Amino acid sequence: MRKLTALLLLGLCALLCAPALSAQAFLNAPLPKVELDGYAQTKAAKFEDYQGRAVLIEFFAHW
Amino acid sequence: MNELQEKYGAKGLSVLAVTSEAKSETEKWVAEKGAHYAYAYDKGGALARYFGVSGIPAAALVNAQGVVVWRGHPGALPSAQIESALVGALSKPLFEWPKSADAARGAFGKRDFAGALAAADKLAPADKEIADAIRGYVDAQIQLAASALEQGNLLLARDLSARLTKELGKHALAARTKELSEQVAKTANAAEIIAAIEAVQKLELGKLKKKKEGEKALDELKRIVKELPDTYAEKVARAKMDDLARILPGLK
Repeated sequence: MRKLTALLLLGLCALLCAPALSAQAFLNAPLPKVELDGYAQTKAAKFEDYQGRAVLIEFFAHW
Repeated sequence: MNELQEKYGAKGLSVLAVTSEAKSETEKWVAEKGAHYAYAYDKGGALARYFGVSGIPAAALVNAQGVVVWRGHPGALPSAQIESALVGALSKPLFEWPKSADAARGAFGKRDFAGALAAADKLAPADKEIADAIRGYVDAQIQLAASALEQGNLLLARDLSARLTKELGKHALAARTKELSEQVAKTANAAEIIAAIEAVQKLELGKLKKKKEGEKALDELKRIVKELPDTYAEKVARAKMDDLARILPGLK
């Protein structure tokens, strides 16, 4: 039982800890397919429409 | 955001704001604030997670080749970083190309450069600007691969050339990118140099917690410097060693 708990914990950590460990892995790598929707105030309708442009992605929130 | 768009828009930069919040809240806020930048919804926050965004504001810069080159606080984005991301960028985004350039747009959007260049040749004189942008973009890509090779950055030269060869398909320019790939392969110690550059790039000093880890990393960098003198790998390893020397005394 203890072994099972340990295994479960390990699995959970692999799921939760992995993104934190690879936080900078996206640098100098091609951006994988981006799925965004509801494009507004632009004629772009999907991220591929920016092909050939440099894109500054800014995360924002209204609060 | 608006300022950067105005300053660099015509040079090839698009600013895209992204939120994971609800549409109703966002629309109200955008209207109240009078913001006029492009934005889109990151439902569920997948993109924010990809970039490890834990606080707002945060931003990421993707260069004209689709490679992520920077991530940080938007106020701390160096203009030199923007300038280098713009190399070869389209002065007009695809969605602003005229309808007469539909075929070129379709091919370019998929990075089918053989198709885009063929479509460019068929464009009417009125669309010369578009045809030139397509040729200019492809030329800049090839130039980037060639200068990476010149600088000895075999990793980048290898990856760019291979990708371009695929994207250029049967176009005559593919001969040039194939030649670049061959030159990379023919360079002495190519495999070792590529592996070393990759290892140095992957070494994230911010992750080092213990002195032991720092010392191990230093040994690895020293090995690269010793085994691959006068190569790009030596150059990047030395630069990393300098950074490491600054943080090493602080590790326990």
